[in-house]
Amino acid sequence: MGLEDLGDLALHLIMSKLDAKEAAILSCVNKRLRVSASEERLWRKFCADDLDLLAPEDPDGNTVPSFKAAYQIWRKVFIMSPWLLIRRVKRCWNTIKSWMAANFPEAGGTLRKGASEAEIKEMEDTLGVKLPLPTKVLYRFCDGQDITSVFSSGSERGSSLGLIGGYSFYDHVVNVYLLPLSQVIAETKEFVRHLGFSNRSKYIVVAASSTYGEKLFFLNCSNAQLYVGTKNLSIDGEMIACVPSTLINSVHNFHGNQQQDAMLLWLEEHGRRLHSGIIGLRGEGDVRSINLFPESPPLCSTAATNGVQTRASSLLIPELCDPQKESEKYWFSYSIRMRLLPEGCIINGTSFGSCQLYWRRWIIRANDTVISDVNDEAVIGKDLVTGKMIGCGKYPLLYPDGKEFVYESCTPLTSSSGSIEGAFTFVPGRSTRFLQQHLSDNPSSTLSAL
Amino acid sequence: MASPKVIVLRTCDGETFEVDESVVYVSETIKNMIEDGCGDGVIPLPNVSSKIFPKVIEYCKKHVSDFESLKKTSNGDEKEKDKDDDSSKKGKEAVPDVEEDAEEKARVEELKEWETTYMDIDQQVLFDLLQAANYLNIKGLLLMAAEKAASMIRGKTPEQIRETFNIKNDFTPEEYEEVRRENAWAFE
Repeated sequence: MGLEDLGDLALHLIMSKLDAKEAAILSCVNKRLRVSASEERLWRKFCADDLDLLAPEDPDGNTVPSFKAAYQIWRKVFIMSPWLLIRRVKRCWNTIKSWMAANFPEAGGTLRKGASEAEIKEMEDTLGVKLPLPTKVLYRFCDGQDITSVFSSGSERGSSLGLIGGYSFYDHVVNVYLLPLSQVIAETKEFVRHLGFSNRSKYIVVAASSTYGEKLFFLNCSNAQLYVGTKNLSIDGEMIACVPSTLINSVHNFHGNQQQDAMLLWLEEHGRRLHSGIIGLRGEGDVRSINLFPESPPLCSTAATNGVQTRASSLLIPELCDPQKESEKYWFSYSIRMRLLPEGCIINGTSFGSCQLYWRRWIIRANDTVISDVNDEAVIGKDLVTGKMIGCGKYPLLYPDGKEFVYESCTPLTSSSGSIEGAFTFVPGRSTRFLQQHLSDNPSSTLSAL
Repeated sequence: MASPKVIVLRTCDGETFEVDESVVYVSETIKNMIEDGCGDGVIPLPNVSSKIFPKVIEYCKKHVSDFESLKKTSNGDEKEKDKDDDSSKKGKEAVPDVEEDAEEKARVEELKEWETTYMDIDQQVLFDLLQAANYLNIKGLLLMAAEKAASMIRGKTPEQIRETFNIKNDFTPEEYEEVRRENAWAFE
């Protein structure tokens, strides 16, 4: 009684505890084991485990006759790259694509299919660079997005379908997308020419805002770090690193799955935030886009008082940062959202069906130094019809219908960390009551929000 | 409770064994036979030898007693005996969660140690055990033995696997070349 004399069930059970490579080696032992190790159900499992592949397809999405054939093709096509890296990159794209399919299909539809080895080589030769391996594999699975942008002729407004997404405050509108290789070549050449970088520059443009030509992301092909341009980008090419350098491991260790460059880390983190709801879609009219202001704790603060809920979060705005000017070294934007909870505004047991903001108080600090202290009526606001920011005071009226009043503003800081804290004061009902009477006669509720 | 029923079983080489009903119930095959009414006579096991049967019973005894100890921790709950229902454990109120966790951890640790000792067996016994567990339909034993067999395969070349398990290479040179080529990626 030996291994080859075992019943089919026992043999199958043993094989299902092996991985694909071990099963393939087992098929070379003898005829009987070759047959057992070729069972489709085994290879269906390997395809699902290794690649989240649920149908027998090759890397280009074409259907092949069996799961075993599919797995073999994938291994053959990517034989020059560490398999663990292939799996990791596939999982990164699956994470993003599955979120898109479920939440933002119109943007998912702009993702192009993978670039071929030849197309990548052409880009590398044209620009005189060699892509870090993880980024190369990323492009093998998806060649950026088909997006109308300010770079394409005849487009002024750009798109809202960027995979990375963005934000808007006042008239600063950002929506970042991943460039396909053809645009990588064009924009990099343009940039290098514009700045007079030497031809041996290792920087390539990989992502940009389709709405605002001054926001560009660069991959440095020699240190595998990702950078984003500051305010001085077009003057002297100034950029800030996007990913902690300690995480980057560009060592070409064939067996290591820890090989990771900034692009992979950046996209993995983005996918993670989308899936966990830290960031998500915001809709303005019919136009939805991925918004980068965090929506959930701990990066978003929330407080509720007497039925009024306020949420606040902030973002660094690198394209406005000017490291060479002390007072404008760091620019932050903050987004404040307010709404009336379903139970309405409750004061001393009485419930009101609406409430209206009339006062704001906040303190902005750079580290612990107060740099701005505002104590004033109303808030700046967006005209709900035109969508434009209006400079004069706005007194948002809230109903318990779940609709949030949102506004964004921004502030420069001298330090890389700071805070904004404050309070909004509302009156229950409507302020027409309030405006006609003296302040102290009115019941009011004050709430605090960070 | 009535004294536990004893079942008589006969292995393929004619030997008979008397085992408590609750112990043999760990085997789905035997359980089905008893429920079909064979429990009063001698149950034949044509695919199991007297050599391997005691080893199998050792597993069954261990895994019945684990289940029993699980039921003992429930506080005098008059619930119906229901093998698949965890709710007898949930029924208690007095024992706090921390104690439960510590007990559970110790039990798991002890079981792991027992399994390591139990599986310290040679190849022949391993395969006999696999066959027996397969026929007797004892899922836990089958999985444990399969894992042990898999661990003996991992990391080896085809030649080493043949050596370990005394398997003859019955490929023709052409066939071997073909299968090697198909799976070239696995040999890096």
